[in-house]
Amino acid sequence: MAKYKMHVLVCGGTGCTASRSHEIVDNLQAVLRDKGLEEDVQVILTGCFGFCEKGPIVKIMPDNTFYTEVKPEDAKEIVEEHIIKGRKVTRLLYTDPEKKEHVSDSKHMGFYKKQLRIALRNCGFIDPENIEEYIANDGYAAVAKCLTEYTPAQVIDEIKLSGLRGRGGGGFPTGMKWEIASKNHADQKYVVCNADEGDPGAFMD
Amino acid sequence: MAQIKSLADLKALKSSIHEKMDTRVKGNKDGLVQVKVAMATCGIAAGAKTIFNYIMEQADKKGLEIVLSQTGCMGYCHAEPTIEVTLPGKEPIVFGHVDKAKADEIMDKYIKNGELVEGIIPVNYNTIDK
Amino acid sequence: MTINGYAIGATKGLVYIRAEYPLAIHRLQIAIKQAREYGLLGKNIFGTDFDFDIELRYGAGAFVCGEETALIHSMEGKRGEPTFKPPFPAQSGYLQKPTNVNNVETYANVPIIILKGANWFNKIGTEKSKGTKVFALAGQINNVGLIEVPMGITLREIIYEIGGGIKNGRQFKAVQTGGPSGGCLTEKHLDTPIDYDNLIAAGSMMGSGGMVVMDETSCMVAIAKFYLEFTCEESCGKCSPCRIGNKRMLEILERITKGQGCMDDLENLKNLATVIKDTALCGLGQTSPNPVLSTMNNFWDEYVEHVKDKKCRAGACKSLMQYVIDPNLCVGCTSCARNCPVNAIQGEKKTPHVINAEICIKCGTCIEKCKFNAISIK
Repeated sequence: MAKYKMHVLVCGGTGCTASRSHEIVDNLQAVLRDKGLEEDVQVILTGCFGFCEKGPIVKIMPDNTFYTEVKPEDAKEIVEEHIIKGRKVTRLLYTDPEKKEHVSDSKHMGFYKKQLRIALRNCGFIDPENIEEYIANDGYAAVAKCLTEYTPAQVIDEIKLSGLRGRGGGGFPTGMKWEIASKNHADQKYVVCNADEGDPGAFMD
Repeated sequence: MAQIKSLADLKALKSSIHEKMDTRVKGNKDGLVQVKVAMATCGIAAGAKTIFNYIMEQADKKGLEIVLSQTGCMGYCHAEPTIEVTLPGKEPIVFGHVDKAKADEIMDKYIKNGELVEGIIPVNYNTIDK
Repeated sequence: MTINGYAIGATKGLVYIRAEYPLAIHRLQIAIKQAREYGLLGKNIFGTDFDFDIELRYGAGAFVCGEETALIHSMEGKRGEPTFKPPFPAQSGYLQKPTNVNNVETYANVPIIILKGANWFNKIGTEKSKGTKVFALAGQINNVGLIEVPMGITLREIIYEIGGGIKNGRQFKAVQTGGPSGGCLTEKHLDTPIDYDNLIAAGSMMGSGGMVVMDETSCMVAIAKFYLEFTCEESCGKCSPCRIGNKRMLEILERITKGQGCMDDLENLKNLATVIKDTALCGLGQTSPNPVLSTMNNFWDEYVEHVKDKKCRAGACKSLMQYVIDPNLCVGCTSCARNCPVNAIQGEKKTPHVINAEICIKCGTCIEKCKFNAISIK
C-alpha cells in the first residue's frame, strides 16, 4: 500500500523559511531525481517544529532522525550518506546541550520535555464523550485506588506531599485546603469545581 | 451496561476495552487507519464538525476503512481544524488547516498511498506515560 | 472531585460552570450520565460504603463569580457578591457547610498524583511550585494554543521555542499573565523561571493561565485601560474601593488615551491603585490595579509620552494619532476631500491637500480613497 519507503520532513515554519528551508526541499528533490529515488523517498515541507533557534530542521522518517542547522548545500550528503547508505550525517545531528552527545532519535530529545502534559494528558487522545476510552486510559482508577487502599487522611497526606497548589490563580496549597475541610465536622459537606474561567484570553478549562 | 461494583470490575472492563481497541487498530498489517478530529471549541469554531462529517461520507465513497473519532484539544489552536492520522504500524501524524480539499488530499494521498501532504504539524510535546 | 469528596467526607459535588461554555456543559452532562450508568457516581462506589454524586450549576456571566465566596453565594441563589474570609469555605461554605472549592485544572492533576504518587509529582517544577501549569498562549504569537509546561520554565522558552516567536517578525514587547488581575512581564523578565512566587515578585501573578503576548503595536496605556474597563464592568459594587476607585482610575486612563491627561493624573493613578489594592474586599478589587501599576512601572515613558507629548508610540490610541497627507505624494486629485464626511480636507485641484486635525474624526475614509498612498497615520 505505501508508495514511499522514507519521508524527509523539512520545517517550513517562519524561522526555518527565513533560513532557506525551501531551498533545502528543492535541493533534496533534485538530488533524489538525479539518483532515481523520487518514487521511493518523499520530501515535504511541514509546519513549525518549534525548535527555531536550531533551524532549519530536517526530520527523516521512519527512523526519527532529527537534523539541525541544515544548509541547502547539505542536501547531497543527506541523500548519499543517510538515505542511500543508511549512515546518519553525524555533524548535523542534534547535540544534547547537557550530555554533549549526539541524539539520533528525536524521541530522546530534551526539547520535547519542554512541554509535559499532565493535566492535559488525555486531550487529543480520547473521545471526550466516551467514558470507555477514558477508562481504557486509566480513568477512575485513581478513585478506585483511594477508596480501596487509602484512608481519607492518607489521601490528604498524599496531596499535601505532592505540593499541588490551586491552579485557579490563588495558588493556595490544595492539601491544606482539603485538610481544613476534613477537620470541620458537619452533617453534609460539599465539593465544588470552579469552572467559571472568566479571565479574558483564558481558554484552558 | 454492567455497573462497576469493584476494583476488579474496573480492571476487567479496562482490559476488555483495550482488547477491542487493539484488534481494531494495531498489530497486523490489515489493521485499520485511525483518524481523530480535534473537536474542542477552537476546532469546532474553525469548522471541525463539517470536516468530521465530510471525512465520514467521503471515506465511505472512496472505499477507505477508517476508524473516525472525535477528540479534545490537541493544543494546535493556531492551525485548526486539525486531524491526527495513524496508519497501521506508523507514528501518528497531525495535519493542520484541514479544509475539505485538504481532507480529500489526505485521504487520497496519505491514507491510500502513504504519501505525505503539506500542512503537517510536528508534535512538540511529551505526555506522561501511564 | 470524587477523591476530594472521599478525603473530606463530602457526598455531594457541584460543578459551577459558566453558561458561555455550552460545549463543555454538553460534554460534562454526558460524562456524568455515563458515570452514573457505570456505577462510578451514586451509591456505594466500587462496592464501598462511600456515596458521591455531582450536579451542574451554571454561571450567568459574572466574572466575580469566579471568586469562591461569590461563587458559593451565586449557587445559593443569592447575588454573586463575595464575603469576608475567614471564615473560609473549607470551614463554612455552601449552605454554611464545610466546602472545598477547587479549579478544574487542580482537579485534573489529582488522579495522576494518586496513581503515580506524590513523590513522582513533586520532582517536577520548582521548590515551592510543583507540577506543571496549563497556559493559554494568545496574542501576537505564532503558535497560539494551549501548552502545559513544568513550573520553572522560562518565559523565553515559552515564547520563542514553544510559541514559535512573535508574529510577522515583530519584536516582543510584553506578556500579560493572570488576565485582569495580573501584570505584564517585559524583556527583562524573559529569563525568569515561571512559578507562583517569581511572578508575584515581578509584579504580576500566575492567575489561571492566560498569557497574552504583545508586540510594538500594543499600547501599554490602552492595555491597562482595557483591563480596567473589564473590572469596572464586572465589579459587584459591594465595596467602595472597587466600585468607586476603579471607576475613577478608568476615567483618568480614558482622559490620558484621549490626549487630555496631565502629570497630576499619573500621580493620582498611582495613589488610587495602591489604596484599592490594600482596601478592596475581594480578589477582584485587590488585583484590579495590577495591570495599571505593572504597566506604569515598566512603561513609565509611554505614560509620560501620552500625557506630555500627546503621543502614542504604538499607534493604538486613535485620538492621539494624526492623519497626514504627504505633500510629495499628493497629486491633488481631490478624491479624499470630496469623500471626507466632515469636510476636514482643504486644497486646490492639482495641489497637495491638507487635513485639518481639529476637524478630522479619524474615520479613515480618505486613506481608503487615496490611490497614491499619500495619506498616513502618525
